[in-house]
Amino acid sequence: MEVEVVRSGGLAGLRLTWTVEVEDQPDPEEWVLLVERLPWSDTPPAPPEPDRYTYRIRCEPHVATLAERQVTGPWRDLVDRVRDVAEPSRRRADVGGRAAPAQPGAPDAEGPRTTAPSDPTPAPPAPGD
Amino acid sequence: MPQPPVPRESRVRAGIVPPYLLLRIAAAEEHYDVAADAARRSLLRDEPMRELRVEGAHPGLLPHEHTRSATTGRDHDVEAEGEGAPVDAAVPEPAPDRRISDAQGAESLPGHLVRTEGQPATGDVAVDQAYDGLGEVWALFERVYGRDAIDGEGAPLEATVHFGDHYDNAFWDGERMVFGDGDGEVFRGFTQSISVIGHELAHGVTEMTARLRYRDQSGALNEHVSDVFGALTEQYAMGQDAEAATWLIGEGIFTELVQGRALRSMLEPGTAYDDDVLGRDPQPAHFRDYIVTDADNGGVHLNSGIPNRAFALAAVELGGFAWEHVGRIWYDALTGGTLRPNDGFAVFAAATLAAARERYGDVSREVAAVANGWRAVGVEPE
Ligand SMILES: [Zn+2]
Repeated sequence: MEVEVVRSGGLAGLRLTWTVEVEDQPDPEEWVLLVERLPWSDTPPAPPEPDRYTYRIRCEPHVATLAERQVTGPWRDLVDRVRDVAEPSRRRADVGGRAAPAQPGAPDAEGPRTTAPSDPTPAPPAPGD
Repeated sequence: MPQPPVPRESRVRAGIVPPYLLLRIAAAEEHYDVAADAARRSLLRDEPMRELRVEGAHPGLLPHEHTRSATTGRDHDVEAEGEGAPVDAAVPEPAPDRRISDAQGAESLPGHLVRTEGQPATGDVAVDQAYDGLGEVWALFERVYGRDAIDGEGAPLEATVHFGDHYDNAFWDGERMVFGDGDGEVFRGFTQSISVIGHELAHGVTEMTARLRYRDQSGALNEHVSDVFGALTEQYAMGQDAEAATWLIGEGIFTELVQGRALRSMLEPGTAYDDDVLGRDPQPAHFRDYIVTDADNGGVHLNSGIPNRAFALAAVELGGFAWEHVGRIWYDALTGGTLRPNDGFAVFAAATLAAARERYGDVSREVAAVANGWRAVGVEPE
């Protein structure tokens, strides 16, 4: 079981990813309990606050996107724990590989998105929209 | 890209520098501090110089500023009527109302109020930098654009410093600007940079005016507007013209361990840093390179590079003080009431062109420069 925390946004727009292999931890049962206790289905979208962090927390089959101010209680416990045991990676999977350049004046030139099905975010409109 | 591990202890506790970073501590002090210190000169001391500057290059500004009063309120459209109007000595000069709080390392807001308007420096660097920086941003908006504070009615400018433990960020929470101290390894305190303070306050102005939705293109525009007024705050405070300006956002925010000049470059997006740990500045400089991503509210801090460059190119083409022409055009577009929260680059570009025509005439250098700026980054106004 893998737990991944991706922190994006922030004034600097820098993205950090922490990944924990639960089986490799000395206390895997505690991790499993912690993950199961999380209110995965109770994460209402929060209005974004400029320059605040966004957290995307994933542990298959669950995924949740939280505004920084929603990272409280058990979510905060999990994030703190992940940050304690894992080193952050600054890999930018979304830069270079997934860019779908939209051509001004040619909205249909926008390529298909390779987004995970769990993500409801619509593609940004072409400038002609 | 290789991922040099960041030692945990150094992430958690500042002051422990990882060995690989020690190897390249730059001997050069750079000129960060010089710029920042110059920009932090006291508001009062700078005032006469500013007014001269403003008066010289844009005769409409000074009278305009003095027509603002209880009766004319915040409406920037009164400028024409104000031209040549006599200065009314009975109208009190507007002044900022700054309130700086200290979160004392906790992630709770607002924290303890530690410095209010008119109080002397506290000796706490972050508190005093925030206070001085807010004064500079207030001065830009009030003296150049006739907008008294975020709401245009002189509401207090609220900021909290020392937020969180080695907190690597600054943000606008809808009511106040919040500044972390940085981890000491990648980031120094976020009050170091006038452009960052201006950036945060401008988020408040956008929220009160065009209300650009913080997602995808409209979100990148929201970010762009904050970078515009952040950069202009610094240029105005330092008396820099478009040629002399760095066009950097957050100069002095990185520690000397980072190979980079700033968080972003408005003129040359993608060139602000290139560092072993942080990687390369990922901002696109042209619309063909627009980044589609789910992170960062749809890449708002990435794609802002595109309109940023359009703005900076227009400013450089016109020369002189950017806050007086392109800054004014952008302010008009932002506050003119035509923009809608979901508007994207093309509509925003059209709004800036319309604002330029309105203020400077259909056939003007200003309109041509703005059009050239957008063309250079591949955005077709509509
Ligand atoms: Zn911002």
